[in-house]
Amino acid sequence: MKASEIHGLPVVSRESARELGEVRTLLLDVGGRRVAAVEVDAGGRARAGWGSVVGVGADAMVLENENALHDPADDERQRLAPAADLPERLVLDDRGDAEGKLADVEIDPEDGRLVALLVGEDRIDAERLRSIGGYAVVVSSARG
Amino acid sequence: MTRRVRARELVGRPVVSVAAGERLGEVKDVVVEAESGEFRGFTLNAPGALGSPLDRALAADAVHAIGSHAVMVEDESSLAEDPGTLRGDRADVIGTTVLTENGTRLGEITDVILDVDRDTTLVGYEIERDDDGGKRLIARPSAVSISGDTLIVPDDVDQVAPDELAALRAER
Repeated sequence: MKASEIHGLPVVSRESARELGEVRTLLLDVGGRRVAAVEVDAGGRARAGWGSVVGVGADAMVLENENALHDPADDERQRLAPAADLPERLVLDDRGDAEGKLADVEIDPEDGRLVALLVGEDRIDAERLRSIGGYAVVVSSARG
Repeated sequence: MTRRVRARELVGRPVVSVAAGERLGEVKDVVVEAESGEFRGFTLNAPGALGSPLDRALAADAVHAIGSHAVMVEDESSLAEDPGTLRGDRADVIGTTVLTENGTRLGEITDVILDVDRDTTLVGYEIERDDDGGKRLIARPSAVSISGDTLIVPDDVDQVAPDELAALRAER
């Protein structure tokens, strides 16, 4: 699934069937190449670890229960990259050549793994991801 | 595969950290040691906390790669605070007189040509000829000798058209 398909989805509690808010952004752990958490617009902003996500499909993200949502200040100071901020970010390879601008990020909704970066018409395997920064997403060069 | 670039084209190029995806600054000067022709590194303009730029140095051996968009470094620690550590002659090679062995001034150096494929090495000079004002390229192995003031070349030195960077001979 693409991150853009997940952003904006309603977030629902499995325990109560209540809608808690909507997905503001996926939060990416670059080193682990996975979605670490989800930021939810729920009145204020709140965060849920990926482990509390039961499933995500075309129509909603389902969390275990309302307690899954917590104040972001409770988190450890991790450097997580908000996926919603990434469209149009420059993609550079580690040889200093530009690959293009990031269009979207593809994840595996089963396990939250980063699968690929979508740059124009191209798919860059997430294995190549080196870093996500304010200036660029850096990937290892296809030349190797 | 060789990739060649004019040093002056590198001025203003962003310097980006591979580890963080952040822009650490931009190239200000290309530093070449005039007598050996060795590429020493870059001086950079780096953003300062108060808005005015800081000088930083990037030594040749700390350059991870030079590409068409950016100069890449591993991380912030690749930069040094003191540009004096580069031990080269900043831009002094520009304007150096080009003299033939029979004592005729051919012109002056207007740029240096770098090969940036894996390591960065100086492979040639761009000169501006006195007689027609045109630009030519001279391969580094073609030069007889170079000092801070003068580049000496054979009378019949091979001169390459200015856009034929790839045609510069790598070996004598």
